[in-house]
Amino acid sequence: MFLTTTLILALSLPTAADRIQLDGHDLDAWAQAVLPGGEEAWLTIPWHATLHEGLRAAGQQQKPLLLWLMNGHPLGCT
Amino acid sequence: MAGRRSVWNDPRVIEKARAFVPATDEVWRLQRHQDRECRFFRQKVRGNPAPIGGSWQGLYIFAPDGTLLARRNTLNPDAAMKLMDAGLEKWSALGKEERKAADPAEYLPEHRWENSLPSDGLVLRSTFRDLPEDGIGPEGRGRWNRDHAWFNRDEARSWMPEEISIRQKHTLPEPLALRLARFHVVDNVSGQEGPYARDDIEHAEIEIEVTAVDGNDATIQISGLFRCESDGVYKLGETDWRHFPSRTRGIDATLRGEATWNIEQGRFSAFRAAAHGKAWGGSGLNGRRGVTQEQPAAIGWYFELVNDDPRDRLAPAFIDVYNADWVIQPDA
Repeated sequence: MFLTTTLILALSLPTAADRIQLDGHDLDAWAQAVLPGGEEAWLTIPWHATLHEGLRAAGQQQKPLLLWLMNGHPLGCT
Repeated sequence: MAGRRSVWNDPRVIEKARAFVPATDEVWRLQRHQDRECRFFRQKVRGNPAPIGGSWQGLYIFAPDGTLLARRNTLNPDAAMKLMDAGLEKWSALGKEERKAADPAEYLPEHRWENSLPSDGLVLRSTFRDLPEDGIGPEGRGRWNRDHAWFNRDEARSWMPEEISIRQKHTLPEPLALRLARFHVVDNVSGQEGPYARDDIEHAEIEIEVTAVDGNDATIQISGLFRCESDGVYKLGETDWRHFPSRTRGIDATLRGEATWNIEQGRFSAFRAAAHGKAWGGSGLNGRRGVTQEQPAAIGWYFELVNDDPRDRLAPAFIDVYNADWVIQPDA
């Protein structure tokens, strides 16, 4: 009985080809767990990613440049 | 990295930032390197293009010609608001001539790592986060950080078996598995850690299987194992990382992923993978504290194909020591 139940379960479960699993969770679950969400409002700021691109845009838009500098790029690995 | 949340998540700061052109950059290079963009920065903030020691992290407000209007390093949103108000006040006092743009010949970079972006290859955004000890769940989300992983066109092709047909199996060439192990499945969650040396890698293996072929689309599944352990001895030669404290540390992680290769175009149209594992030790230079082999940190890494966001052109954190001869070096 146990063997039959196990076999039926195994046959009805999605195969590895259907859905990738890592530690019992699919990739959608991993994305949800790891990726930043709406709580990271700072990501909505339209940052230029370099000093020179920001400076060029400041000249074009005639606005002052607000530059945020860190060890490691703030939009990358800081 | 705390400033991401403490300052830049404040709605008042986000609103005030609209009065400016917002930009970010990495300060180590600007302080120390000889590139024109770096010398321009130093000339404007200190009146001298010579390299600057210490750390000049913080917020700066410049006129478009590079004149420094205000500067402060703060994690306090109220202080950031005051700085922006002070900068705007100085800006409003400038005459038309003083608002002119700088000549790009003064500041355009001669070299940036982003010039090596392999736009016809495989560019992945990687995000990594502290997880609860027992895996992912609703218990809350820990600190996170971000990086990018680069593979040029030939390297992207080498993720696929030579013959692309269903059930074909393939091992990712060792140099590319090592690239992931040394530079990407690393504990940078609490701030930059140093890269691993080749000798620190005990195991780095990626296995690939073609699971479907439908017209021009070939689907693959990806499995990987990484084990790295550094004895704390720096081994990378004369690089910027030699200034980073080297201490014992390690990683033990498993990766699973899936991707779609467009056979006609010779590139990936989809790619995502997650890794989960444990990290211990560290330089002590970032915010990571108290993780040991007995009480390691649980980390999740998520790799995904980038879109057209210009921010995804940023180079990998360890690009200066990447094992890729196609990366253009500063003195090339």
